[in-house]
Amino acid sequence: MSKKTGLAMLLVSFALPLSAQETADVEVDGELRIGVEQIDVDTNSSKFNEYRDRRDGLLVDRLWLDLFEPGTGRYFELAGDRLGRRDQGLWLRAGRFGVWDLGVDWTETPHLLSNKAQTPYIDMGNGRFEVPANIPVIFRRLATSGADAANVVATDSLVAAYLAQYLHPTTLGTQRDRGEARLSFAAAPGFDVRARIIDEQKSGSKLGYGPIGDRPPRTLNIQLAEPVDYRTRGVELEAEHVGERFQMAVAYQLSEFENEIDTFTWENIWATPAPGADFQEWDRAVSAFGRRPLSPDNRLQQLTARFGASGPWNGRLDANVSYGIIEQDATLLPYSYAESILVSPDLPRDSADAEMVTTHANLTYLAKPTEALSLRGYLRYYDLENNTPESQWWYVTSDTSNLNGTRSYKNNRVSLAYAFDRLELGAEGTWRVGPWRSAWTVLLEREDVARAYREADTTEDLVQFQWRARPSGTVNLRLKVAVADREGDGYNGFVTRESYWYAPSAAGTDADDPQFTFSNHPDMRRYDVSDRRRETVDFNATWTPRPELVVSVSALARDDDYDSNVTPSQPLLGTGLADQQATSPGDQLGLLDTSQRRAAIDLAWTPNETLTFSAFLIADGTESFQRSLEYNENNKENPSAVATAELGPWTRAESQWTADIDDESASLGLGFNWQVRPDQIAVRYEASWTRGRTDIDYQGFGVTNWNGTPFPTNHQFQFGDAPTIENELFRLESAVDFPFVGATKMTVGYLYERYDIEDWQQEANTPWFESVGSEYLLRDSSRSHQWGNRLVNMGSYLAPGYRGHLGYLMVSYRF
Amino acid sequence: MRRGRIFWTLVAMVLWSGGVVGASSVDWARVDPTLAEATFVNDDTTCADCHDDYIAAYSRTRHARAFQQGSRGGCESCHGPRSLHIEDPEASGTPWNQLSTTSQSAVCQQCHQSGSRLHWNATAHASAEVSCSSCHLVMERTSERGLLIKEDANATCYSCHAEVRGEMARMSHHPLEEGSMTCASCHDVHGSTQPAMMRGNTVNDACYSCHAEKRGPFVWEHAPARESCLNCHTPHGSNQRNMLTQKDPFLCLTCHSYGGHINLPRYNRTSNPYGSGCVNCHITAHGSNHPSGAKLTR
Repeated sequence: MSKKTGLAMLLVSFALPLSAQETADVEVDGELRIGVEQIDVDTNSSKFNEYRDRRDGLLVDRLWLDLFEPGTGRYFELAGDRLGRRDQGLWLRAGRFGVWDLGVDWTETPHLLSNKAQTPYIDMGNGRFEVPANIPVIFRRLATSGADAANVVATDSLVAAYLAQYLHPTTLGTQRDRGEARLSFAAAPGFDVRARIIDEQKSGSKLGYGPIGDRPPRTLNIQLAEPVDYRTRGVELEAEHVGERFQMAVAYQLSEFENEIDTFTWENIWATPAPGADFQEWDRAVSAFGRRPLSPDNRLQQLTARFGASGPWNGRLDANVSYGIIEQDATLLPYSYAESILVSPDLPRDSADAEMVTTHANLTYLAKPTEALSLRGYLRYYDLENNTPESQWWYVTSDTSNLNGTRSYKNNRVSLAYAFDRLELGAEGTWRVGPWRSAWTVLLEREDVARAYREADTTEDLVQFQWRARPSGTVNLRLKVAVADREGDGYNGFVTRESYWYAPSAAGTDADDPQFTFSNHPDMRRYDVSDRRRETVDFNATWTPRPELVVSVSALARDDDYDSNVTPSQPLLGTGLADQQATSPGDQLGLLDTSQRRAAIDLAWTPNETLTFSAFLIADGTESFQRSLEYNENNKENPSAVATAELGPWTRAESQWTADIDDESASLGLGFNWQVRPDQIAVRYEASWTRGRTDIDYQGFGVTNWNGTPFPTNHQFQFGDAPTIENELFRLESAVDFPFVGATKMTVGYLYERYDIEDWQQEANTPWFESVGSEYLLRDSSRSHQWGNRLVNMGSYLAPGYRGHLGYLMVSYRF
Repeated sequence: MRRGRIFWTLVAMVLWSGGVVGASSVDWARVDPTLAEATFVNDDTTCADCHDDYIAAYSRTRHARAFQQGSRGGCESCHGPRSLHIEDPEASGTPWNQLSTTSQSAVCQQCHQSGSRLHWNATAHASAEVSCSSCHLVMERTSERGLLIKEDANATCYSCHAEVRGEMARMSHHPLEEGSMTCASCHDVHGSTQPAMMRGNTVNDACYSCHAEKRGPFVWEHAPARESCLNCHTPHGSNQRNMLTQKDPFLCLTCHSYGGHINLPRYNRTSNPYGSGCVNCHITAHGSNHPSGAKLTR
């Protein structure tokens, strides 16, 4: 059934009860608003309609019908917005008070990502994408031997010409249609049963990439549209008892996700074997296609019991327990698409089956021994047990391979069954005492997280003080101060060794032996499992000088310090290697600290019954600081061998770099609603402005070599302060309602939007990469001959800035 | 071990709590001591004699309609016994806004204790002295659904959480402003006992309810993603693409320093400083089922 047919049927069904009008037995309320929209947008930017569907034409903007039969308590309510459009919503509620209730929601949500993307690919269906022709590459070498500049230039020209011939527009974006029905039934006094059914479809495409090959710079990569065709269906059943002394519910949830497209396959744009030739002409074997699995079908089942009861000290116990299973058993793809030309081993198991079991428990006891004192204690526990088999795999360099199929010992990998459990214990006391009707709250909380195959378990202790007060009938104050200390328990930076399964002898004399040395740099601390001290001050005040005026002010300061007492370490000590005394600089790497400051003011003023003003201003800034160190991973065992090399040892502090990232946002809004003549003429006005800015202050290696020599901008490692990333949206909407014909009302409205964006990752305006003959072919400015140096892309600024005007005219009939 | 202890504690609590009794009731003398001597009149027409200005707007609410069904109650169900007030209109009892928030909510909980509201008393909202009437206006229909104090759920939440409105206005955001989601899509404001009153047992449970394709489980997991989506995403809005907490590739570089191309924002390839940064190649950052998915490149 098309949207238009459905809409027509809906309008007819809407008209039937309208014709009956209100009788003594049935109360009828409703509204119908129909009109036209006209847009004028200077740029066909997807951002204008990112999550909505504003376009020229007729529109059923609003439909509402409310029927109630007082004699029986039966009700029926139907409402819809923007019917017939891609962002339409519908809901229905029917039932009989105290007996049964049915609710149905239907929501459609577009997520438009680009109207201007271009691609040479043709969607052949079922996730397979092919190109109309391949690029007759002159320069064929993918390896690291010397470049033939003339051939490189010629090849780039060929690629640009190819793109000019074969690029065609493709829409990037998805459409999500979600339906949900809920039925509740009072089976007996104090006993209800409920059911909920969910059916959601999401289809379209999203921005994807097609890497073919082992790793950059040898990887071929291309930006392309990844197909999306998802369906999620769910059922929830619940039985509940609500009694005076205790309440209890048992619920079962089943959710099944199905991906209609299991595999994404894309043709290698760059080359195909010439007649009579094969890939052996290349330094590496190259597949004619790349392939990877898309999100697997999966199933979630969960059983939950909830319980609440009265207890001593005027208390209340709340508890819930859940037990769930998440599983999938997708078919495994072979290691490589090009099995015929690569040495492709047998897979270690038949399918990608994986299973996780979750257990959750929550206990809270709240007591009020006196009116002035409240006590709360709680326990939260979550356990994720990973039953996925751990298997030994090859990391086959999939579709391009050194020496046509052999692999490095380092590419023997184990899929680890990550798991964790989290236990939180908290105790809180609130004492209402002192001036200004003050309430003082102290919260103590401990969180323990135990993890399998991670660098650290963590324990975090939180102490929080809160003061709430009402100095007068017009002022409410709240001040919250919290300090939390997280300790990473014996950070084990060598845990990654467990993800390799080769015999130590396989490494031979290779100086990069991850089982023997390390993967992450010894000074790195991953921020989610490192030590952290968090200090938060949060203030909020509400002032109501007169009933018609409310002013709220809030401020937040939060500082996170990830200092984990990193000291110089000797990861090779005891190995017998010549370099076993090699020592890391001992400066912590990773995220070091973040600092957030936020202030907000909100005002609502209703000077009289016909006029309402509102305004808000919010400013937010987060500064984060991180450090890393560039080193040659091929010299982990013998860093002294590269002591003075550009890509040097992991021991060299001079190879460190830092990034100080300043991320700021500001929002300002103003609005009023004026009932010029109550229920007859009204004027609405809303304006808002939002700006986001990100500045990156980059220092150290990259700006200069380790010895302080500045890198030229076309050096392969050169990096520096990135241009400011900025986006700004101004929106203004105004509308006037006035009487039209008979009982109808007309609305004339206007919307203006201005969106601007600047982002160095979306255009070739930095010293680091450049367009080569085509906006759609980018090349690193170091001009390497390697293939990872090029990227065929779908265009700069896939969702560019715009200036948009929208006028609308609506007629509404309310009864 | 932990699981067993928690299970038996729950069983003991159920046994201790006693038998089944009828619907919840409220102790009016405790809610408002001035009503201790009052009795129920059970005649809404008497109320309407003086308060007809409220009745017109109220009569079209779900509350009014439910109360028309005899056994559901009337004005005194929420306002308490009013015999003294009828005898002396000046004896109006303690004004509603001067009752404690616990008392206010207790009145509503007479009928509204089902579903997630079962845990209302244990929520952060209740702890912060938010009452039902902080968000709901039951005497008039000012919102399409839910008898809210503002025109919709988001505006109601913003009246206390004003800072979130600013976050939601950022370039990369969930479709709240556009009306396809509400704060309640992720937060259970009535009964969640989770931090931030999240729906589900974890943050990830809430995210998977719409992003089930990321639920996995996968052969190759990205451990921080499995533990919390918030390790990389800020769902209230971001100045970076895909609601990331930080600019790519710097976000990845806060955890990864294996050497070579992993350690720099630029390393001789367009992919690093362009488009999606590291994710240009490590495209299955949420997990992979490919036999060669160890590095999340397939």
